[in-house]
Amino acid sequence: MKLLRLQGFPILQQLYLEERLLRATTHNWCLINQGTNPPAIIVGISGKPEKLLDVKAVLQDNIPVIRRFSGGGTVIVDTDTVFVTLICRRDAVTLPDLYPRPIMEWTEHLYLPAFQTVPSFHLLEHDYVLGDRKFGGNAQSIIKDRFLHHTSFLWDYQDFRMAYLKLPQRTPTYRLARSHSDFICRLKDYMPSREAFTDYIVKAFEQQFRLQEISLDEVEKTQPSSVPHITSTQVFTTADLQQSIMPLIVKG
Amino acid sequence: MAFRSVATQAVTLLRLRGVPTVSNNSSSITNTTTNTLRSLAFIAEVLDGLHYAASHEWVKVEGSTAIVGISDHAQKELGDLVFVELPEAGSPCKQGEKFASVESVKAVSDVYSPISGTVVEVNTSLSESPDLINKSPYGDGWLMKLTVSNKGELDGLMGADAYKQHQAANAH
Repeated sequence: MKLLRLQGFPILQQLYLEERLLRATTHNWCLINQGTNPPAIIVGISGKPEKLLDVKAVLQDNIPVIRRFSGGGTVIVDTDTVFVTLICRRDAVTLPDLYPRPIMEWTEHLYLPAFQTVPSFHLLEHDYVLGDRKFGGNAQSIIKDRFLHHTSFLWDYQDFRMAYLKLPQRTPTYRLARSHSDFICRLKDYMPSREAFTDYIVKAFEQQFRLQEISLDEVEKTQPSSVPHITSTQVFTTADLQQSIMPLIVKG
Repeated sequence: MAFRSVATQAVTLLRLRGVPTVSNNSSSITNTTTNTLRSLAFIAEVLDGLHYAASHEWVKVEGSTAIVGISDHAQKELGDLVFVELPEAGSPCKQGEKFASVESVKAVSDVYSPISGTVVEVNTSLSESPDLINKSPYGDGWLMKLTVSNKGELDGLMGADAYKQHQAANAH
């Protein structure tokens, strides 16, 4: 498995890169990106901004909104987010078929050693939690004989940024009626440092994979972006976002 | 009728796995029972008269037209579907290549065409009700209709019996 470590890599570029590595290469990959700047909101492939976001506030504060190629919900990411992505061939995992739940459970076992020092890490419904508090968002993209599983871990977060996100229509059962701040937690409250956290992750992954570190330059040389592949990641323009709330304004 | 059918399927499933259906060891019986119950909950419907791809799509050919969907096994494994992306009418489809995407709670999965042809119609009901695929994968949850360009491709697909074996071999 090739390990690519990034620091502050823009999330839009990361998503383009991930989609390319998933669809246009045959290797196993692990990407770890320490934060992104500027902050951005990422919705899943079917996400509708008007249903998921306070679009007026997002427009007012000029926060980029990106539709990613994978499923799942909405996250707001910034310099306090730690991104970890796994891209695997079918033969890299002991799963009979590539479906969401078995992949999710496989990742739980993969990550478990990284959380040895933290009590009560486990998979609850579709989320990684500490106890009953979520500390990261997961999403997957599954193609023939390959899959991608990416996680945005909340090393820390700013409450005011969470306010851009509406309560989604679909919430996990374990959330109950909790507010966002009661439902999620900060990893920095449980880990000695970000560097220690990513070291724990690398060591955990090394229990199942032989990791070979690679630089972004080498990736660009050996897996060029010119190879044609399906690209679904897109940025919502200001016009797109304004258009999304037009019917709501008209109804006013 | 339904209970007898389920019990018969359970015995068949155990035999396919090489698990003895009778044991003198109570722990073994408990483990077998637990696994059986898990398997029973998961036994997926397979319809006769369809052709199936190893990637769990089905196709029904009527003359020069085919209807395509995903199997009951696939919809069970994917979970509640919340979004479906379908091709446009007039698009070409090639056997084994992606023609659609389905989204379940956290995942987007590609769907592959079991046969080559040209799309003539897609199931527009799925835009408002993607759960039709969960409720009726072989009926109202169909994905697309296409004019078939090479009926010979059906020879490379599985009939119902072979697909049941394929499902059982991939069961977890």
